[in-house]
Amino acid sequence: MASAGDTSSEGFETLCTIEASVVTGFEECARGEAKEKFEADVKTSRGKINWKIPMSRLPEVLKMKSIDNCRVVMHTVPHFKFTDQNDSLARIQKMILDIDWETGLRAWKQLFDFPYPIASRPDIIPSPEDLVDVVVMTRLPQPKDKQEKKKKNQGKGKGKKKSKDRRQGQNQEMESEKQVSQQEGLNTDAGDTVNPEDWPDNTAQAESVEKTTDAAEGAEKSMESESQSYSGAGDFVDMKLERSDRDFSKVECEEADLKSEKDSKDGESSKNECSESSSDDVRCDDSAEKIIKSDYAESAGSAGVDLMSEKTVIDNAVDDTEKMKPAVQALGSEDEVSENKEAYLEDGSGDGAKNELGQSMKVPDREDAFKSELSQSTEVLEGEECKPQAIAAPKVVVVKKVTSAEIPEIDIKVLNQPPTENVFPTALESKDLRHLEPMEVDSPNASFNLRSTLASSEKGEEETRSDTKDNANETKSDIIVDSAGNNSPTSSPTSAAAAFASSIINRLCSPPTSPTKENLADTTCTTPPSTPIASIENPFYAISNGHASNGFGSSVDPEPYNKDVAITVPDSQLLVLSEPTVSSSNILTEISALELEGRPSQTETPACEPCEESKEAQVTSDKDTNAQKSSKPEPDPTKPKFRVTCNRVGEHPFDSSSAAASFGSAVITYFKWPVDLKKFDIEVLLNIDNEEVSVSIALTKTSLHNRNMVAFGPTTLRPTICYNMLRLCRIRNGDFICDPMCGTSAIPIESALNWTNCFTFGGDFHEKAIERTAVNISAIDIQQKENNKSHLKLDAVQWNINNFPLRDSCVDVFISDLVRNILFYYLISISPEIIAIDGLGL
Amino acid sequence: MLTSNIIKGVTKGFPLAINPTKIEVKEVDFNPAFVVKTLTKIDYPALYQAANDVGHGEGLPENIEGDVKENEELLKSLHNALLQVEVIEGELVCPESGRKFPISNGIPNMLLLENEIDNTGQ
Repeated sequence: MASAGDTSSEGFETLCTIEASVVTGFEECARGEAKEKFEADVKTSRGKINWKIPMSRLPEVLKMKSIDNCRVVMHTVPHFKFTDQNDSLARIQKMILDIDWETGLRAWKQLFDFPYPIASRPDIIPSPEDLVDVVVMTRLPQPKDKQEKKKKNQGKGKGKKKSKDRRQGQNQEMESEKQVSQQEGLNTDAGDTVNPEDWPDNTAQAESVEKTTDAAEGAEKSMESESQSYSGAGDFVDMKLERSDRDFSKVECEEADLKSEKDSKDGESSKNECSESSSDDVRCDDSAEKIIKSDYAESAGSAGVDLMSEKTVIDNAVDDTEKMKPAVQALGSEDEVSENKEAYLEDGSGDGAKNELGQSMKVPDREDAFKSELSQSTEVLEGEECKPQAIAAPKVVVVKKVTSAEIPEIDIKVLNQPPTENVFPTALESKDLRHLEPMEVDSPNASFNLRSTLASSEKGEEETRSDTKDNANETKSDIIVDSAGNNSPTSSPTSAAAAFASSIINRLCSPPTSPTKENLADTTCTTPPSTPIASIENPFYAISNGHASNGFGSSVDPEPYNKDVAITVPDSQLLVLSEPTVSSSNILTEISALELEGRPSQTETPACEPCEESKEAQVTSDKDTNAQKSSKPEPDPTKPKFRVTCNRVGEHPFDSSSAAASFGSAVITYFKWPVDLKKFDIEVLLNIDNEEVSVSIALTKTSLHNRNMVAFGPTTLRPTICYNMLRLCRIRNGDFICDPMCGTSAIPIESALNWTNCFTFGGDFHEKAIERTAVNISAIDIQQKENNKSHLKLDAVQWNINNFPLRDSCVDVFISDLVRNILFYYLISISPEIIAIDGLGL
Repeated sequence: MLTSNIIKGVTKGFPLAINPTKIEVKEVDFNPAFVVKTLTKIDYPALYQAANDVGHGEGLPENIEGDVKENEELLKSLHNALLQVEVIEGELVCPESGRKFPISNGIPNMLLLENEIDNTGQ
């Protein structure tokens, strides 16, 4: 049929480029079909075909039988020279300005309903600089953890119980230390010397430390005191701390794991990590343990039983602390901390039992120092909560970036966001990762940054958790004000998120000059817990009613946290960009928030532990006000929800999740659409095939091959493949087609549906195959009847092809899926029980 | 088209007699070209007998002569017999051995028992 571009007023004559994915190997078949249907010039490449059609004929594309998925291409860059990670991702983000959104959205609208008009460009087009907000999802390898663990065990060798305590203690210690350091205003510069590699461990440690810190802010304090007492006295107190810390640290670890996992991996794994972390052997635990143990555990736990172990711990702790300090200061990122910790731990474990008391005595002192360092790093770590280890990494990246000239542009976001309900990494895919990295959860900083970000670029980076050091509160507050200005309550959540993101970016970008000090101080005190919360739960929190401007982060000004110190504030302030994540994220958020706040609260309110709880509660409530805590905040209904999926083939300086996240952030900045990984309206595809980069909008929500079949067996062929195979047979009208081993009769059904002038029959030997065949055929019949189509020219027989009951010369075409059948029959022969398995099995 | 020449001792095994117990007539698009082409493949007497077995043999002459393409009515009856009438339950009977092949759910079961298999030929 001639396409004839209609010259309708809607402009359907506009040509759009369609790309469809095809089963590899059948591209020619698909091209044949496309040519027949559309008479267009069809280009093929591996696994896909590409051609132009007028928009009015889009629905026909969906009826094609040889393709699985199709999309409308909006932009292609045939030779995208990939440079380094940051630059490449930034360029990808800038690409958003070149994309033909108009056509893409129009095509999409043809096939999908959306109650509101979608602008193909925003009112205010962000400048390329605004768009650049590179998000890198990193996954830190954690080789060190293992080593640490080993060391730990070596050193300790004490009762496991003790080790647990120790660990807890360590975690607590670390946290407290961190807090202390934070409070002291140590400023970790981004990007200093820390070696990213080292960080992973540190990060983990830091994370754990952080976690515990938050949880046990109060505990920390007590811990500190206890550690001191530890030196001399034995301690139940310590024990107590440990326990409480333990709980927290565990929780935090889990949280962190979740987060980190999200960041680091694309989802799934985080859960494991969490569990891991919570388990004793988690890396962070290890590191934390070491440190903490050295500080407390020994004394507390063993009441003198294991002096050696204790000593070791102490030594370790001390060493770590010391190491941590410099590192912390240098980076202030988790990485540093973790690094230090790691080193520390390693040393510690190596030390073995040292002189006990002497060391233990020392510990407290060092601990303090360490703590201060830790607090610094904790901040950083917090941001990175997501991954116990991963966090460190992202920070590293950020740091480096910051130091480079591109600071303002690079925004490493912590993935915290679990736009989807849960913080668990599964959400990480594309969207989650896209946004922030866990590290960013730096509460005070995060919130501040967010605000500024919002104000400035309206980026929707959600998770800019406070991770790294806090930027000057002042900066934040300024930003916030801006954001507030920019984000009116009416502004879409995306702007809030964007603001948040921007603020974080700003935070990251602006070197810690004053911020560090201020942040530390402020952070600890006031840090707008919201930041972490927001990030964790919802990367994009809509900043409610203009709180945005302050609350977030003014570390200096605790007022914003009216509802609940810090926690509440952030909630309201954060714009919810994406659907709020579920409670899990909330938890993380809270925790991170707690951590952040914990610190501040520490300075202000010693009793952190209870704070945490309350904070969490508050956060929740706050969030609720914002409409989210576990439920997502109301996204702007006039804006379509979207997600970005990145498919990447080839070697590139970044990974798919980072690319998806970065591009997603650019989209948010540009359009301010809310993000939803699961229930999205628009799916933006970023396809990177070696040197070629293309952006398209998906036109099929589910693959087209899920059709026609109701009952499946172990060897069922995809209908798309069946169709393509049949095409290869060059079937003519009136042919008799036979599939002697049809199984669930995927092939006969496709044949009968598409070649209605032929008679098809299929047969199989196996009982169950016949059953399934019957089910499929009757399902198709029903479908046909519903569509007023005639019954299929299709018959089935149960036969044994060894004794083939057919007359000679009555079949024109034999077609079958031999490989699978062979496999199947092989399976049956080797194990008849297989047949008994229901479900997928026959 | 189904034969039972797989059974030991059966030489031709065609056509199989049909003993229907349940029949359905489905609606199939009438495609004269298809019917004509099919006629060339099938053994008409067998069709005739089969159609009569199921009780839809009316309209079908004993022999097909001449140019069937023009005879629309005939074509339609053929179409009916060929495509629309379906035996849901019943059995197919081998003309030579009397072996009955059950039909269930429209699907005849042509599987043989061990002792029925003709191992000599192939």
